[in-house]
Amino acid sequence: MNRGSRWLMYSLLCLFGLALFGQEEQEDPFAGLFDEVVSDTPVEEAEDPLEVPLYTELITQDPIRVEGRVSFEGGAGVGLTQWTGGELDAQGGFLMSAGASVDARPFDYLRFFGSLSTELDQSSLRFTNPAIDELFLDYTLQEWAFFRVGKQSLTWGIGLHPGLPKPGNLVGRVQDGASVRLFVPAGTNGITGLVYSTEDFLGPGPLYSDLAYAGSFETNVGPISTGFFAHYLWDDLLSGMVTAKIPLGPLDLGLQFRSDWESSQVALAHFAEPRFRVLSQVVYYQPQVPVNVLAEYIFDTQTSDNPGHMVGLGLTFPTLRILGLRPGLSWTHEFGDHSGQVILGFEGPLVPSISGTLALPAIYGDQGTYFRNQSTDLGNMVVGLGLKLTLNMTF
Amino acid sequence: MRSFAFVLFFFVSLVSLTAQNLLSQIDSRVDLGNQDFSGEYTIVQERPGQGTSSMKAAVFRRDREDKFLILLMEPTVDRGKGYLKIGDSLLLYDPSSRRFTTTSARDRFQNSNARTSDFFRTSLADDYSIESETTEQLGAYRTRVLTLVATNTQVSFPRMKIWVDENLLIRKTEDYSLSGQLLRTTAIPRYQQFGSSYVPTQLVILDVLAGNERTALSVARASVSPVPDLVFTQGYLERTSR
Repeated sequence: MNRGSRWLMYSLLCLFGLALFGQEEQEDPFAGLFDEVVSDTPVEEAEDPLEVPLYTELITQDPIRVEGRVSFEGGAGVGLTQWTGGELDAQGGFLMSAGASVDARPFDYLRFFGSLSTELDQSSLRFTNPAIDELFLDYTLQEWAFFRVGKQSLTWGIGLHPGLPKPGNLVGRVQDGASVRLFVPAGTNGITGLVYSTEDFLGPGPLYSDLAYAGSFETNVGPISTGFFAHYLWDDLLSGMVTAKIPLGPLDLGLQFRSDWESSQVALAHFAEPRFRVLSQVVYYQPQVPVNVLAEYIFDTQTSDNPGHMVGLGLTFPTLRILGLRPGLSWTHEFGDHSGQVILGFEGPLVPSISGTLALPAIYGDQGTYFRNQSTDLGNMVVGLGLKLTLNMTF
Repeated sequence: MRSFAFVLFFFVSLVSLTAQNLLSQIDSRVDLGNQDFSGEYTIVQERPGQGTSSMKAAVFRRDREDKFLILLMEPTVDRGKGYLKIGDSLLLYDPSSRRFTTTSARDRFQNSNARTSDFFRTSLADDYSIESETTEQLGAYRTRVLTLVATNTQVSFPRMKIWVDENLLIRKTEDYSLSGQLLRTTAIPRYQQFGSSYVPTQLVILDVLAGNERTALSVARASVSPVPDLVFTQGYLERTSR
């Protein structure tokens, strides 16, 4: 080694030493935590018997709570009405809505919740009459049976992809009417019983025929979380459904099987074949990985009036930001008529309380096919570029 | 020669059994057995250059049925969101959509460096085997340092190092990726004793991968009073949510 090389080596070693020294100077995030042995003091058995248990306090800590919300959305889009030979079209619009809710919990076993909302009608520029979104009473009997009575919303089924139908939501109409729901713990989770009616169900017949009846039993069998669901409406359908979800490594796998039988004797003579619908699902969701995936596949044996054979894929990129916006990609496809939709979107906050969405949607398939008939923000366009700004405020 | 092989096999099996027994004993220190647990967790997260954020959550545990429930209390925007773990499945409840979704239990808790598994008892004996063991002085604690390797893919981290004090309580952990990269370091300076069981009541987590973000968890109102069955169900999340 010549003299120059030695000096270089020496300099590098000095620099390396300085770097090491510099690292030692960094603040130790755990400094002082283990300087002395902490006696892990036993809790005295005499916990204050008058102290309200945490599980009760969580319910009653705010005996009454009133909240309001205002939302304004404005957007514009431009696109083509046909893939070939189409015209350039543009559209824009806005939506303003406001709502208020009251949540009263005078006792730990009793609760009232009501929520109203109104929207600005774009054509008349008047706010519509306030609609009741939810209005229900909760009653808990002996910390065992939980009742919810009134207008409430409920979602069943494992389907998650926003662009696909939700064949598992047997109780999707419950929010259109009034209902009584009971939940009791059973197995590892619980049993739900539901009776409800909507304006559409009401008829001249006896009362019991105006009601829909539904029930579920959800529990775990080893690593599999399962659910058994049933729904019955007089002169309509008897539906049964089984769901199963299991974590497998980093994936969550789901399977849902639904069957419907006509419950009317008259209808049974014409339509004796039961209808089967299957949904399978794969979810890969981790917050700190480059891409998250949602994949769903739906098969339906009755395809004449319904989408029967569909797939949906959703990709989000949790660690990626483009101009501060989160990108996402959605693809849905109907195998029966070869129609589908692809949406590339970017979403995120722009300034305080205002978020922006930039979307590039495209629909393919012949006129009259499933996705061409779906109501979308694209209107009569098949491909476009849209921008939406949303302002939300709660108080 | 055959008898030598048998003795060697017997010895290896015995060492392996003893090692797994050690992990079982460590697990049993934080297993509440037939007792329920409830507590109020405060989570303070320091992100370099981004300031500090905090959240509060109520936690209920029932180890004998492998269940826990976490209900977010603060910040206000997340109030009423809940996690219900039953066995291996974890349900998330979103009060705005009144919907439950299932996910695997390795998720980060509310985008913090804490994981839902940090609120639950450990199951090291089920999930890991001991690769090596040394001793080390950790501040005032004389500890055994165990290097663990995962025996299944369900765990959050494929490799871990744990510092165990003389009471068989874990005082520090280092979580590694499969490639050996340090991902997270956790210090547990304080436990609360309930009979023969212990619950961590102070944790400090350093997320190396996220640029040394520091998360501190502390527990108040720790109790082992019985909790009704209804609390460990979807019904309770619906009942408490706003």
